[in-house]
Amino acid sequence: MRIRDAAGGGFRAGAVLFLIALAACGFAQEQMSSQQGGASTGGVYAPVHDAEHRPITAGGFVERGPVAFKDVSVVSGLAAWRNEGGTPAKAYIVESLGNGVALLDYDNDGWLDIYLVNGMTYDAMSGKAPAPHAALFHNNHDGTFTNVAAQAGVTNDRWGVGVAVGDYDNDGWPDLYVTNVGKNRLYHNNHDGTFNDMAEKAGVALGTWSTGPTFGDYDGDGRLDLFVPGYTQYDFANPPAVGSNSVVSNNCKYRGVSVFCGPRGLRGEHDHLFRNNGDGTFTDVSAKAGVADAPGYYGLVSLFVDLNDDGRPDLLVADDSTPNYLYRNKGDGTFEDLSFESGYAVNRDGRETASMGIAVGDYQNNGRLDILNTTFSDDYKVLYQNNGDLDFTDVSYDAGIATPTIPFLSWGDGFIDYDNDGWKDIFIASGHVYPQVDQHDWGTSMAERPLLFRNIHGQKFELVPPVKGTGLADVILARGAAFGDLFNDGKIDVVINNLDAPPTLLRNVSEDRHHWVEFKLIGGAKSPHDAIGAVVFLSAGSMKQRGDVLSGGSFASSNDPRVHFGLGDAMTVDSVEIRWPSGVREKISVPNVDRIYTVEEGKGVTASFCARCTVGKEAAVK
Amino acid sequence: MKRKTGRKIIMSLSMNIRFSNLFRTMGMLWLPVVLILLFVTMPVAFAQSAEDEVTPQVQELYAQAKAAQDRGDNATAIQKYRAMLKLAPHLAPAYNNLGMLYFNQRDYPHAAQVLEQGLKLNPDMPTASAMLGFSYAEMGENEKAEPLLEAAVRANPNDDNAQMALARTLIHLKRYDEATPYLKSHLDKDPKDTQAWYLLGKTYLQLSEDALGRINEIDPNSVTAHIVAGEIDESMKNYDGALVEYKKAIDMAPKQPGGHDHMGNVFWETGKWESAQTEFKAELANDPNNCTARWKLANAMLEANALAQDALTELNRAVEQCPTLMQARVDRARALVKLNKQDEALPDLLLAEKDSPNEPSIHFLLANVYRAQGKAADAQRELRTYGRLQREASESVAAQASDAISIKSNAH
Repeated sequence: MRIRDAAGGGFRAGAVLFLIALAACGFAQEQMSSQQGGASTGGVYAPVHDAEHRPITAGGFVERGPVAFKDVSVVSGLAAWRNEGGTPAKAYIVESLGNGVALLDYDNDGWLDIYLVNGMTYDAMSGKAPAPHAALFHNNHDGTFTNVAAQAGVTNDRWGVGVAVGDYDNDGWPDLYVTNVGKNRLYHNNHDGTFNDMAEKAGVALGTWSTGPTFGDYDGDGRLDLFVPGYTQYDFANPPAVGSNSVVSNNCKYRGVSVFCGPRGLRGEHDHLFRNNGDGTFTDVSAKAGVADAPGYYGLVSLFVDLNDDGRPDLLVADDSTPNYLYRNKGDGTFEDLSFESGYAVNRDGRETASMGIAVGDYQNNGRLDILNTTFSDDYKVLYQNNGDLDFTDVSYDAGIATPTIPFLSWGDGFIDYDNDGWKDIFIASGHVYPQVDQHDWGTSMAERPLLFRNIHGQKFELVPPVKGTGLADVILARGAAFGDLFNDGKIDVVINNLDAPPTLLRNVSEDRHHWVEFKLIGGAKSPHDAIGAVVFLSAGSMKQRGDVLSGGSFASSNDPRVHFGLGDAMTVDSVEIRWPSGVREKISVPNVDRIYTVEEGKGVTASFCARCTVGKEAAVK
Repeated sequence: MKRKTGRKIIMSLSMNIRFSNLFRTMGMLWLPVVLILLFVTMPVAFAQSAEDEVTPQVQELYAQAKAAQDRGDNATAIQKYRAMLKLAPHLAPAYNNLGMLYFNQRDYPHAAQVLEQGLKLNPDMPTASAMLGFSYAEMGENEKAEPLLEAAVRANPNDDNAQMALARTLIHLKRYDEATPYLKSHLDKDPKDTQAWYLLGKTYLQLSEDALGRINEIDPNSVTAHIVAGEIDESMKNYDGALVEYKKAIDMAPKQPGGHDHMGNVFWETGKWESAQTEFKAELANDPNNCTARWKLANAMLEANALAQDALTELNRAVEQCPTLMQARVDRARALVKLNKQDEALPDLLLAEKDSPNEPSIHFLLANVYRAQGKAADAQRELRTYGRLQREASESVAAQASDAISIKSNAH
């Protein structure tokens, strides 16, 4: 608009605005500056390229080096299945989120199976094509898997998002809660290889955009409760686009380029806490418990986890482009919001981040769980060190995590001891949301390679170089990632649910230089049967480690429920103490290493399993 | 005898006139009508003819009008006064009373008509004149209202209502310069009158607009004209248009201070940190004393994750030049914290906190500093304050966004 264009008429309105704007100044403008103009929450960084001028997210490979993971997606049979999410153009945010993955032993045969959530296509929504199905890959015990989702009745056939595993009715068989853009599913395990959807009957179907759920016994009654975060309000008939009614402002640019709108500018969806009534039904106690998310932040992932070691699970919610939540369990059925006070709401710069995934692990072996949140590109991934008493410090830069992770847009993450040296390492799965990034030199890419950081004695992390042809050199559109010992060989493998592509199964092929031990826990009468919420403290050699049985986390995923410990140079286990959800503390003896032990509350070790042992397979200790 | 009675009536007319409270917001005026003054100033000749007209019938009508007024029946009172004036057409006070009744009923045309008639009979009645001025103002007849209101204010400079009415009338007549002194005088007496502040603000805005419009009239292709056009575009978030105008201004006068500053500001607002730095550096080459540009240069460096030490150099200079520029102090503290020099950051943060106690980022930084100093309790206190302020801000933004979406969704 120019003065000369109108004889003062147009100038008049503009002059008023200009003069009013002149009067506005101060911190608000400064704080907002990094959030305008379509930059990410972290701002804008100079692009990083490898020697062949590829963005580092899709390059930076080395010819030689230690090989940690091998891609066995094809030979395993997983590559026969494909994830779908809208159209490749990603015109709307709902198409970009992708899906989670769960590891569970659904048939209780001692081998982990894999559940992969799927998205949806518009053709399927309009009835022109069949709906993309979720997959339930049964572990055949020989390195291969078979998709039995149809027979099991868990294909979902809705626009899926995430999944959490939990035995909500304590019958000894793991159930699945699958979240959707729309009604969710509570798949009850029928013990015979099939499931029934009980969500409506149980009162947990909702019908909004639900994301990464978590099971946990927040009220200590021995029954698993359920928390479901909400993302944004979404109307398929009126999707958010420039000029539409469902977008407050035009948050539809990234670095000056038009992209899909949101989540900023969209109305947020609230979170839900469902208390288990013990009779197959749940009651929504969100508001009463103080976790309803009144402002409507964009919740993506949640995790019940005891962060202050008072025996009660606290609650983490990773929010996209809004402050994260950390709720302290007060023990009276309510939670206290300590998000800002704890330091978890924002990063060390006081900025809210686009948090996509949560990993927890005691990386310093000091008995306290630390947190790693994945975030958007042009922003570092945040490592929150637990100082005790629900006080956290962002040590990302000091720990060596920050700089290498800045170009990556990351999702699923986990603390895993990939080399069994007794120190928990970090694995991060990444992939962008804007296809437009491949047309610009911004130092990032749509498909990205995973990141593995090796823990150097709890002081720092070192990036493990991606050797060409190995799993770390896979350039994929990763979303959910789940971690577990799929081959019962004591090494933690990774399953990644890629957007618009087959999944990736990375088998851990690191050298056998250290011993290990795993525990499958079974709760007693006053604990959840699957022992979610149990904490295991293990001492071996000079190290004392901690492992927790959790449900949810990563990006909308659920990990191996067994607790894994690498033993480093130790040849034996000195002591194991289990803090059961009921409050009971139990010490057990572990006669051998390189085993998977089943421990029942109050009964000690009741079974052990050694996949590589020459003397039988299933061997009872007693 | 008759004359004496008439005078009595006239006197009692004046003494029984109700002082109506005509206060209203946004135009309602407090109008104490002291009609007794009318009779003090009444010419003898007029009083004589008016007295002649005060017959017993007129007296009776007056009594009835008064009684009707006492019971709040203004319609009847008006009727009675009209009947009186048919019988006593020279009774000026009666016109004034009737005029006031009409005014109270907001029947300004009738009020004006009646008051005009009264003033024709006796022009020397300042209160009636003021009321007529108010009536004209209410009817939008500003040209007629202005001289009368001005006279009222001259006669009684402490009459706030007359002052405000005159100010509004002058605004309507686009005589803004003349209106502002009256508004300011009113606000001196009643500084909490938000409506008056609103009028004053709008008046200043209009004066500014007129002044800026003159720039265009003088030379639409001048550097100043391009700058102003750019600023207007920028205020409407038309950043592309603003950049075009600023570029033209810079091309015409590359060494003139201001051009690069404006351009840099657009880049700064849109998060284009590298370009913002380039422009602010160019501005500082033209005007090394522009401490705001220097602060923004450093801020852009911090946002672009450049070396904190480099940003600190600029911030030290900015604070030296402009010690009261709190944003520079906060960013200096931010840079010092990044450099792990938390102790050095504390004085700036404490100053900034005094200046802006409700700015969340200051408390966040203070928490960081106290933590580094081992003052856990102080750090926690600051984090709690930070948390409270952030929650309040978030709730406010969320509520606003929700309202906006609701309005948009319901719009047709």
